[in-house]
Amino acid sequence: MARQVDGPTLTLAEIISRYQGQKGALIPILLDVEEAYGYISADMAEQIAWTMRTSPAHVYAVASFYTRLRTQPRGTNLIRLCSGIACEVEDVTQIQRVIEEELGISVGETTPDDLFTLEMVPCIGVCGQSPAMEINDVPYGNLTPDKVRQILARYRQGET
Amino acid sequence: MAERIRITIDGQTIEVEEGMTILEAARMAGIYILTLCYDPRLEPYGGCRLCLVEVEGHRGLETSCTTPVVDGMVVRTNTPQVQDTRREVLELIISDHPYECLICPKAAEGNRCPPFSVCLKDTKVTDRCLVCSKNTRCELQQLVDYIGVRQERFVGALRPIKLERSNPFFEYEPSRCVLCTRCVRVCEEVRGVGALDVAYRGFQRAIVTAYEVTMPESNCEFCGQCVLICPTAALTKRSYKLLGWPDHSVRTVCPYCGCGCEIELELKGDRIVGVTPVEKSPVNEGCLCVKGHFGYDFIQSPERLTKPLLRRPTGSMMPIEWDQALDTVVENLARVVAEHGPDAVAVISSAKITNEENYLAQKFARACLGTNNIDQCAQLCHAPTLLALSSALGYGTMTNSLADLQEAGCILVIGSNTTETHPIAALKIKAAVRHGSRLIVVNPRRTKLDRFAELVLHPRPGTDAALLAGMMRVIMEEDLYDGAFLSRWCLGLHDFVLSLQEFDVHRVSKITGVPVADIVAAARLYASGGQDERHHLPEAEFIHPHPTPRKPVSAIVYGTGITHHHGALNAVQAILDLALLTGNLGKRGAGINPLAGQNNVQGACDMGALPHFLPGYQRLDDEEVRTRFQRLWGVELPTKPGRTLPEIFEGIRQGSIKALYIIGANPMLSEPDLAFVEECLRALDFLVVQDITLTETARLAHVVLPGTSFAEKDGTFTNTERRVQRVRQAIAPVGDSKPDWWIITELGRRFMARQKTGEAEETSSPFGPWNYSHPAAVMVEIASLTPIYEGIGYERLEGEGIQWPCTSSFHPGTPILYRDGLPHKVRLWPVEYAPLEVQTSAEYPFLLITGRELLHYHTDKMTCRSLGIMEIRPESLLEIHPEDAAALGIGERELVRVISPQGEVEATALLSEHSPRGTVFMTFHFERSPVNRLIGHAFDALSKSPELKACAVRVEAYYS
Repeated sequence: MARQVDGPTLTLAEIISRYQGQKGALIPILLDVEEAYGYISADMAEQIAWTMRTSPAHVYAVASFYTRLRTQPRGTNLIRLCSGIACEVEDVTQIQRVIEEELGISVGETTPDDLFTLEMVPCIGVCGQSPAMEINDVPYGNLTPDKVRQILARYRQGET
Repeated sequence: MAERIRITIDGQTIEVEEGMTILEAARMAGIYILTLCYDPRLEPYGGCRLCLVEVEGHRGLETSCTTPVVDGMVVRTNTPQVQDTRREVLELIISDHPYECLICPKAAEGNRCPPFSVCLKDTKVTDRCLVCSKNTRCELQQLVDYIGVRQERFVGALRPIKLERSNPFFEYEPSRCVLCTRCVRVCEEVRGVGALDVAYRGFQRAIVTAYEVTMPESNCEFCGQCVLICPTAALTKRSYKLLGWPDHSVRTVCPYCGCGCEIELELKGDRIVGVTPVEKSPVNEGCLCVKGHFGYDFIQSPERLTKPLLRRPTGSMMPIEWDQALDTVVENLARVVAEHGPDAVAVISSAKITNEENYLAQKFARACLGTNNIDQCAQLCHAPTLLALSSALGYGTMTNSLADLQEAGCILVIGSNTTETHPIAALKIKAAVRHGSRLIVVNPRRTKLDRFAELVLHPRPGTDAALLAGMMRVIMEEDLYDGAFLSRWCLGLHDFVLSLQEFDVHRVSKITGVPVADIVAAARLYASGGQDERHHLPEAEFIHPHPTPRKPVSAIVYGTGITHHHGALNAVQAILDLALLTGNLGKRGAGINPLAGQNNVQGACDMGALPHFLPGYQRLDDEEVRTRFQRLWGVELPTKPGRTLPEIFEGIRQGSIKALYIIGANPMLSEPDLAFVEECLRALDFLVVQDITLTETARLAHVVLPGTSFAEKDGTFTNTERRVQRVRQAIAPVGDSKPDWWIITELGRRFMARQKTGEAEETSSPFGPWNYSHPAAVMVEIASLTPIYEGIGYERLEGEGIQWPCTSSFHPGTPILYRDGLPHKVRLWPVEYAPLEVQTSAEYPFLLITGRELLHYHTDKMTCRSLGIMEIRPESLLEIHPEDAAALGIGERELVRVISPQGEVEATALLSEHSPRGTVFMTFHFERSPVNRLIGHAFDALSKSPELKACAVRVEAYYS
């Protein structure tokens, strides 16, 4: 939500026009929309469906299949906590509990102030530094409860 | 022709066509392969993995539904490996299904528990097949029994029972779903709607609408195809739950639009509990729309008329007996004929009643009353087509069949919102596009068909003739015409080309508001039969998933957007010119295809319920024809051509028509300028209305005769593609109502008896006496008097019907007209374009277009009796562009007044970008919003078609 205060980087029409005349453009368009707006709304899905000449239900089905794509608005900062096997071994569950306590939300939810959204995702590829998470695509590794609290505090103070 | 190849399945060598799948080949050979996700109408999917077979030389097992046959292939369907694997697959499928009864040892003995029996397994009620509405009809149950799964090896998470009951027609229960996705695929592939898809992954997978909104909020069209195709009880019709499963069914024809879908009317005793489509019907191929599937409450509605009614002098209606009613009608009609001459009486027949009844109605008018004043509402929508096409080609009808559209290289849909008005015809168009046909949609509004179109043109209302002229000019300039066809069949090319001079593309673009490039592209695409590649739409990958090479032929489909204008004849002639110019006649996949609005528009016209024609479009002034009719009917026929529907009302106003007999029509809602119509009907000496409910028109009648619906009588309907189909009686007439053919026969008999008093002479003409005991007898008479129906009799209509012309009892019917060339040389009509008579002004700034919508049908007497349909769409909506609405201070779903110089109606506003700015749209279905009160009095000069589709209005917020 807060992301939209300064406005999305590209309008939907601009994103769609980038892929004009290309086959198999549905997923690239969805990724770009996710990037620009933080999620794919029902109205956007309808417009995308019209361009691709498919149905909004199909766009929704594709979006809901991938963890990377969101169909609900999200907070300013998106936390993706890794649930891959290496992080599992290094007790990511404990980290999850700490984040949930700190933010007062559970996985899949957004804080009431729209600052944070917490998600569990399959492996983010930094197994060497497990347990790990990503906030807005910035990876953080070797997490401990204290380290997590510090990171969250920094984001609370406005770091993006 | 595909190559024939030989394959061996389970030791049996069979010869099959190349391109078939193993599954299709096996089914053809009578070898059973298990399937769950397969349906012959759907594209190969390979989702359920139950159809696995062993193919010699292939590694692992193959899904037979997706593997094409290859010459010399050796397939085994029942090896131990196949058996093991498919058992495991089935165990996985039922692992998240309520499976307790499925694998119960009692079921192994071939018993399913009777109701109320004690469950040996102590299972939750909701997990029992016994309480499932699909019990014994469930495909999953059959598969489990066939394979004999008797243990639960895998235990998955059952989906929570979350009944989706947001729509009145069917229910969705996810816990019963096996994710075969047949509903998803039928919705997309066959219906072209795509309301459903599979969301999420793993055990969370579920069938959902876009953003999981309820069905009424989604783009669902409630056709119920998903319910019909569901193998389990995940999707079930609510009527079966509420009224029970049917015990028998009767095959008949849907009474709604002109598509003429065949249906099975399902009954429990004499109560109608549901409807299913006939799968083998060549018209609808197992499909129906929401009206045809769920709109049958009107048949047994408490509002049906059950007794004849007579108006008391005080104005109230009094039920009377049939004898008295019929005698009163005959007496009064005879009195008017005696006092004012036969032409002081007129009969308005109906495009809803059967062919036999229309035949009798026109016979009653001509033989008994002695007038040609017989018409029906087809005059309002079909007259320009009839006039233009029949004078040029011989028959004013669809030249090709609906199924033919699938062969077209290019389809031009103009002035037809086909998805809403002819849903099943739209399915054929969508199927064609899916297989590579290229679609051009021309409509002032956005329509649902646009999604499938390569080119969408939005001309200003009423400018179609100019647009077509512009396209033809491009075709002439770029030498895209069919020279051989032109020189063989056409006359008047010089004058025609001359007439195109004023239609250069830039001027046409200015008139129509369509960009020049689009006009040129449309012309090229149509003329090339869809072969022109210059305007290909590459990003539209989903609309042609399986393109196959197409023949270079183009079809034109049009509807009332063309004919409901005062310049209708010009537009139809331009369509004819376009087809002639490119030689698109007499070929499979080509042709001119006007869609008839009501179930029996075609039949009513064929039967001569028209003021200018005898049955079979035989001319009134043809001496030979008249002699034959006079000899067989035993009466003198009137020679003076009769009055058309608008002229009948004009005649009433002038006082030259004193009595009117209306059968199954409701001009008080369907005619333009309703105030004028009401004034006319009130001025009549005698008005008799025959209908199934007390319509607005019937309330003004002196005598009301209760007819029956299609379900209570035998007969035939002729659909828009000239297919004569059999209507069969399913239930006894409601109350004391009588089939319309019986009523007209009785009137005819009594009228003739009355005229003949004193003359004892016995008539020698075979069809003189009115003594029909069954509609079959009427059909015999029709066949002997109507050359195009000559070979048609009830005994030949048991199958899929016959398309006329059918000139002998051995003639197979004619799916495509003019295959052996046109009947004679045809003159190309110089194109004329007359701008709309209606102009917007400062006082009336909006142009109102009227039309139909999917959920409702014509005037509201049928669909508004359906509780379900009324739940979804209970009122008339005024579609208005959001920017226009904002300027007027009108919000979504707010009440508005729509005002024209003629009158005023109320409606609810629907903000939508479907109509361009400055244009508003409204349907004419509802008694509460009689939109035709707004429409003025403009008519096409020659065909008398009214300008129903354009009217200048002003829109105001109701509470301002």
